[in-house]
Order: sequence, then structure tokens, then C-alpha cells
Amino acid sequence: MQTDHTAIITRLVRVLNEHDYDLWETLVTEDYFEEYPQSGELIRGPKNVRASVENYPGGISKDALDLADARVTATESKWVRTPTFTFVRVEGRGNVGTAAFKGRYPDGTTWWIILLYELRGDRLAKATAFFAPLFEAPEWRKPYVDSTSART
Amino acid sequence: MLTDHEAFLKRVMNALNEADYDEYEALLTEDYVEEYPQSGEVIRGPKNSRAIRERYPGGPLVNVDTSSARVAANEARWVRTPTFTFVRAEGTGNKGTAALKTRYPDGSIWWVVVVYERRGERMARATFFFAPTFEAPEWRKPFTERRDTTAAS
Repeated sequence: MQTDHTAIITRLVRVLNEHDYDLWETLVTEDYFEEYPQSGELIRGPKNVRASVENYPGGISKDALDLADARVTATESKWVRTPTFTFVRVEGRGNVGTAAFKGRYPDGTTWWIILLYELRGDRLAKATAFFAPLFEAPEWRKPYVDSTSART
Repeated sequence: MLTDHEAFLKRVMNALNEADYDEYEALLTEDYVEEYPQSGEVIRGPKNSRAIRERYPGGPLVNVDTSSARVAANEARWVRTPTFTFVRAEGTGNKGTAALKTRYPDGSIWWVVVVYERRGERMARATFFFAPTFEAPEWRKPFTERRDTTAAS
């Protein structure tokens, strides 16, 4: 049976956007853990991950995660259509994937969130998260850059 | 035929570390496209991709740290890291994701996450994300364990 990575990730993001953390806990495994290589943090278990989201200073607003430009690449899913990428099919079987989507923080800043994740069945079992801020294209690089229209 | 993402990526990173840009260009397809969603930049072609690396202010980027790299691809295994042990990923595709650390001329250390697509033995498309290291916030400490972000492997 094929695993629809895009559907699974989209559902997880929607549940987080709706602050339905009870439902979120059912979408991850009991031994789920997240790690943040940028800070060295490791968060073990759905309860701790949930607490880290619920206790975010300033509170995370509903619909903070933006799927409009989201990309999911995995062994059994397609890329999500984006302004710069068209659909590209990924063939194969597997449980590992990568998702990238934008998140809006309480201070108003927007960051890309990149998840390297592993599924067990239809549940998220492991995720490595990276947080990447928007930035202005530097002047020195402009001669080599085709466009700057991809930023949204 | 299985393609070895890990070996391929190490070849790319080694070419960059050694500032061997002719070799780097040879690892890219002629219609290679690179994009940076954080800034909206799109870089087309091996020559432009090479130029931005050669002309990086402060000197070429030659400190790609392959020892801490992770590779997730549908035909490759994860590279062993301090935090992840081997996890096999299976399939027959040509896409993968790599995460690696690099040191910039100003001394700062960033994670670079590359979501890429290969055609044959060459890189055809890559989306780059640049993520700075940061201090773990106090409020999150009750829920987290800590690992050394400066450890190479």
C-alpha cells in the first residue's frame, strides 16, 4: 500500500494550525521525538513536544504554518506545486521524507521550517527540524541570479 | 541500478572543500537550477553556481563539514551522526535531502539543508536552506535534552 506523505504532513500541519493537540498526539508514535540540530535540543515523547508548542512564549497563532508554498518530497509522494517547482513525481517505497513550509512567529517574523522525518505506519515517528529565516538577496550575488521572484 | 547518494554528495562536498570548481561543475547538469527560498534567489546553470561560490565575500567557502552530514534519500542510508544512528531508506528514485554544517568567513556556523534531484550521476536541481545555530531557550529546557552543537560527529 502506498503511503501518501503529502496527505500525512498536510494533516499534521492543519492540526497544529487548529491547536488540536489531542488529535496531534494521535498522529505521532508514542516514542516520537524531535531534534533541533541548530541548538542541540532533543525533545522526547509526544507530551514534551506538545508542551513545547503550547508553551511557546507569546503563543503560536492559529494558521501560523503556511502550506501555500509547502514542499514535500518523499519516497512515495509528489512534490507539491510551488511557484518555482512544478510537479515532479518521486517513485519508490519508503518511510522517510522531507517537508518544507513557512511558519509565522509571534514576533511577526516568517521562517522556513524544514522537517526531515520518518514515518511508522501513518504516524510520525521522528523529525529533525531546521529553522531558516528569510533574508534579503545580497548585492554581490545579483549578477549570477536569475530572479528574486521566488520569495513569498 | 542503485545510486549511492552518500558517495555522490561527499564528492560534491569534497570538490567544494578543495576549491576544485572544474570538478564541481562536472557534477552538475548543464541545465542545473539552484534556488534559495529564503531570499527568492534562483541561480541557473553551473557557471553561475560556480561563480557564487568562488566569489563569496571573504573567500571561497571551503569548510563544508562532511563529518556531521546527514543524507536522506530513497536509495541511501543515513550517515552515522551523534544524534541519528543508521536508518535505511529504500527506493529507486533520484531525490534526496542532505544536511551539513558549514563555517562562514565570519566564523559563524550554519546548517545547510539541501533538497536535491539528480539526473544520472549529476546534480540537476537543488533547493538550499540556511539555518543558523542558536542557543536553546530557557523556557523550553523542561521539555528537552541537550546535545553539543559544536560536536562534529
